[in-house]
Amino acid sequence: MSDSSPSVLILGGGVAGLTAAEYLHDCGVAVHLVEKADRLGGKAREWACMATEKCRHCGACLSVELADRVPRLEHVTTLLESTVTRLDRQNGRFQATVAGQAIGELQVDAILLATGMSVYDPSGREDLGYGRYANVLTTAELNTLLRQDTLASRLDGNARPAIAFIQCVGSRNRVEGRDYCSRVCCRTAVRQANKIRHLVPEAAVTIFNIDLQATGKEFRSQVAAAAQHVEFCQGTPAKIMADAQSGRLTLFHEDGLASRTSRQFDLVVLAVGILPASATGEVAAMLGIETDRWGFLASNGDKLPAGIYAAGVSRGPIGILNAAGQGRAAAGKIARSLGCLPEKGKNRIAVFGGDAAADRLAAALTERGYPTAMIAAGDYALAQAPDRDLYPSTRLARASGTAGDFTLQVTTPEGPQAISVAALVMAEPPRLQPTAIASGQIIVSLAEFLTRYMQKDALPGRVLFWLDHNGPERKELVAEIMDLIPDLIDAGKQISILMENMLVNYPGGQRIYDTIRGQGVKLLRVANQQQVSLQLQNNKAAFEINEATLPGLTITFECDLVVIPEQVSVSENSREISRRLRQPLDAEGFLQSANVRHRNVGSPRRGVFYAGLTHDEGDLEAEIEEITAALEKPDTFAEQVSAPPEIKKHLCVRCLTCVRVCPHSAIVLHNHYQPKIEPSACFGCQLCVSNCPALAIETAAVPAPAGARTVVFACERSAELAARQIDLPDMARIISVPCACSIDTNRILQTLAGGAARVIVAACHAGNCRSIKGAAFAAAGTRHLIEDVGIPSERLRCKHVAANESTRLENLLKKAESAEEANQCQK
Amino acid sequence: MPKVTLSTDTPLQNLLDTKPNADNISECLTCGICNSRCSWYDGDGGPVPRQMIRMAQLGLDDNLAESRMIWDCMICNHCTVDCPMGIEMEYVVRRARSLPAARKRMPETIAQGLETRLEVGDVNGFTEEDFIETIEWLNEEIEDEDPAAMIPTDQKGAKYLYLPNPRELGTNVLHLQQMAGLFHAFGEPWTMSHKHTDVTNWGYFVGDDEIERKMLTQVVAAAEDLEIENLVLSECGHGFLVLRHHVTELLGREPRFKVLSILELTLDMVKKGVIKLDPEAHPFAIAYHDPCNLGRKGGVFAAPRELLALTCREVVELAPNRMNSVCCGGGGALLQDSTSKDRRMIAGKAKADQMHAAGTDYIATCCLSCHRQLTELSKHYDLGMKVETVVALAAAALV
Repeated sequence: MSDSSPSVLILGGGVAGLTAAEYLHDCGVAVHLVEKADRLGGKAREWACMATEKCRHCGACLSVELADRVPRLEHVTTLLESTVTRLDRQNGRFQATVAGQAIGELQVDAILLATGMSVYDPSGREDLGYGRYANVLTTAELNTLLRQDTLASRLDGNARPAIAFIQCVGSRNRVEGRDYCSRVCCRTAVRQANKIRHLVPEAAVTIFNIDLQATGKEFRSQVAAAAQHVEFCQGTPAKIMADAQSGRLTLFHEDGLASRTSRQFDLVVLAVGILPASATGEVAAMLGIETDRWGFLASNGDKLPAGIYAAGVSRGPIGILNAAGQGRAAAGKIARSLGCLPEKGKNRIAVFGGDAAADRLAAALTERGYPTAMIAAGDYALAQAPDRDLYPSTRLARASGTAGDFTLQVTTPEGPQAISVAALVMAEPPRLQPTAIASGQIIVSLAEFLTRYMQKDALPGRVLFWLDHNGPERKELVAEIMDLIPDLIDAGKQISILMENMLVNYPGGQRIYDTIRGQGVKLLRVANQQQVSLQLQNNKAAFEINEATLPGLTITFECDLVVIPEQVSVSENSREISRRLRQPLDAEGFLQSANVRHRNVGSPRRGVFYAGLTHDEGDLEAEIEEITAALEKPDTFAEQVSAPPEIKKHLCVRCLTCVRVCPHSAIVLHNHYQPKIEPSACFGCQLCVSNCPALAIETAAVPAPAGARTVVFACERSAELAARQIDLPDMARIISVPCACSIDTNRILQTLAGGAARVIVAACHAGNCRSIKGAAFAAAGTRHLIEDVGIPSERLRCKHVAANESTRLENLLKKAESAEEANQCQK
Repeated sequence: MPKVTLSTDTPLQNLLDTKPNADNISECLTCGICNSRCSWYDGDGGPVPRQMIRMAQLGLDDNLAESRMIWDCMICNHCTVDCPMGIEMEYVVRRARSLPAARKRMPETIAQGLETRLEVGDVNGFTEEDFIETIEWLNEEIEDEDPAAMIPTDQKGAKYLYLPNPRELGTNVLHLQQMAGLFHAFGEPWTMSHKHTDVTNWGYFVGDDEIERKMLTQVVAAAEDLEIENLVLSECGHGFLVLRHHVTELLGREPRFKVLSILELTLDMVKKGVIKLDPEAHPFAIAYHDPCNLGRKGGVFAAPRELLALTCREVVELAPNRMNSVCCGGGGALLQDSTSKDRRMIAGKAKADQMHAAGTDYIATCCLSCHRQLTELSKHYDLGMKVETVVALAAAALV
């Protein structure tokens, strides 16, 4: 790197800043990373691992992984305990004064604001008793208890505690000037509730909420599963008192009848909202840029002046994984503007799909110089565009090759064809199924309504939007309806909404919800669909409902038109393509496994990406930014693990086990069905090594532990990172492995035979293994040794440990040692 | 279950949604915060705040008007302090009370009081003759000690006109005598008027602007006739709220006098050095109860505490207090309903718990209604607490 290399100043060493730093470093940019705290990782570093029997995809462990990796990068200079005190523009560059560890001046070409967030302080809401009662906590403080493994002691060993969560504390509050949804708290509460139940199985957990925001990847099914043992209660208590006798915390709540009741809890957790960090406002003032009404850097970062970029929660409330996505996307934009991305020789990208979303995606790719092949399985009218080849009514038969060089065998109406592409993006439209009762003139689907909406005058006077009819509503469809309503009211229509929960977790969602209520839209809430009955008569829909806020009354009303949004699912075409690409689906059948190791739009197969409604409820533009950033990164198709395993031809029996087990589709067949590992597609998990029945795949040997009583084979992305944060017991030894699956039964037996008292295989949590199957393989291997071979279970364990579970790992190791001491005393 | 039909354009809906905040029921988020905050927190009866808002919002006027909730409500606004949309319950309930169907269910003593006050000028039917007689009798008592301290009546152009609570002319004459002592100590011309003797305004309780205005006009007209400079209000919560905060809107103009509370005036006189109070007068710790109308709705928090601190050893805070203060259980005309004793003791349970937790032998407040309710709570819950009013304590500490 020369002195003339471009340089970027990143303010904030949280997940967004770190992700961006890594990307820019890989593009050859010199990065100055300034962080106020004494360590990297940001707020996410304070959050606990939410895994229960499996990973819940909160992304908190990502902060530990990034904080470990990024400061060791060659072109990244990290300044901890430092702040920027002055920023000036000079000849198209920026001059920054940094104070802290060392005072100094920096010249940079661009600035990324990743200043993060703070959380709402509930002590101003006196009646919540926060600060007065020791057992009123915030979700942030509960995270600390969970991270430090001290929840049980906080509960005084109570095995059946009653625990309440109160949602929206500090959010969705116009009077306090925060009329926005913090977007993450419902997920946080449900995850924490699950975690509490995992640790204290008989805990009774109640989540008091206004509108449960059941949106996003796999979250609907998580909520449905949680509802089996967690109570969801509409209405958020705002007064907590301590019972004079028992000292237990007392809340008052509607009792489901025309009266109120008190309920007692041992712990009350306030789901505190997200606020901008104070640094955001300070830096915005230095740069003369405006923040939005809440103090965030506006939901649209594109409004920022040249050379200034923003990512993460500094822009507005967002979850950890999305903050990482924004970090990558912003870094991509910066690298592009600094001319650090390759401009020419871009290979074709396949876009699966053909609707507006696919068109937008293809257009964005074209803008960045990629020719595209738009392949639509369904029967769409595909939009023509320069540098775009259209393949209508075309099905994928097979995808061979690896990132940078895929060959797609497709079946077009004219016959089979081969298409060469560098990467492919799945943007197939979802299946939108009108509800069974949406027929005729009175009940229509949203699509049907949009057609009729063109002639607004012809619409009847009373229109009801019936949400949640097919299960928790999709955010996009709700947002679309909300957009229409002010216009419909202007046209003199009387609008009502029937719902279980109003979705507001999108930018501006709460404000538009406040607005339409102010305009007279009647919101009717039901606890579930059994509370609604409907009769069609005389061209009218007559409803009878048990309104959730008015127990004891049956409410009747009529309307002339009922709009029920379509049910969203994945089309059979999409599923078929996914199968052909050997890509697992998520728990709800949507495209792209939830386990993509912190990649919102990526997949375990390099060069395969996802966008749009068939995979998640993300923001399409953000997804496009992230995909293009990933595609444009200089080494995207050439990234290699340091020592990929190698197949020894003379030992290989061509059984193709390796081809079948490889989660990354990195093993391709050459002449005469000879498998070969493609280094640019290999992630180095060594699942193939452990599975090869002919022992034909070789890899660099893991060093043999000597003299250790406890040997921990720890995945380098999870347990090994956790182990770095703690002082190990004397006789324990951590052996870093690329994936827990690389430790096969032979390896374990050798270690035990070599003198170790016990072996712990420390894998990622199920569902968080970068190689999908690695953690499960390791668990099955140890189970086999214990159950079938007869290794005593005190000598062998498989434990799932995340990178941010250092305290839990420490306790595990201590427990193992002390169990042995107890054993020896007995002898 | 009873069936009801949603309506729009109902009388109640037309009375509400007139302000960006306070009566903006259509914006209710159904967050349920208010449901958890009603002071009537234990035992039978009491409102379910969100149900009242929702009934109003959805046009279920009759269900609301006929529900026990609106006359049980203490319109103390404790429930809506934390409302994220800024709705204030008193506006909703007072309007609902003004509906004809609700008026029919108005407690009898309230209905009588309204009628008497409009007819006679005093809610208890205390006539001008009664007033003159009482003052004469009081003056005879005062004359024995200090003829200069006698209560002047109908003095045109006086600097202060004192407007008493009806109870000061009936069951609590001592209070009036104490106030007279203070005025005498202020050393400036003051008076009372035989034409109006009542700081209360039950028009406020029943949510009827017309009645509230008529009652207010009785007071204003008499004060303006006397051309006084300052109208000084007795220790009365809702009386303060109406005469200080509603007067201009209801009258359609500024009154030709300033409205002061006896609390503010007394504190001011101490600060100016006009009167002196004995700091050892009340050598005990005393808790302070914020009357909802004076505090939460009227914004007066500091003055009573300051004045108490000048005469008592220590002022003890109830928890919670100020904006989050718990209603005594007699608000919203509950105290004025002669049949409400049992319900008031339930509604005041939260207050009684607070009083008990304060651990003091004394509690003061600045509203004669609260004063009576607290006294009854102390007895009912066997708290053994003595209840005082702030200004009476100051009067007793005059040096």
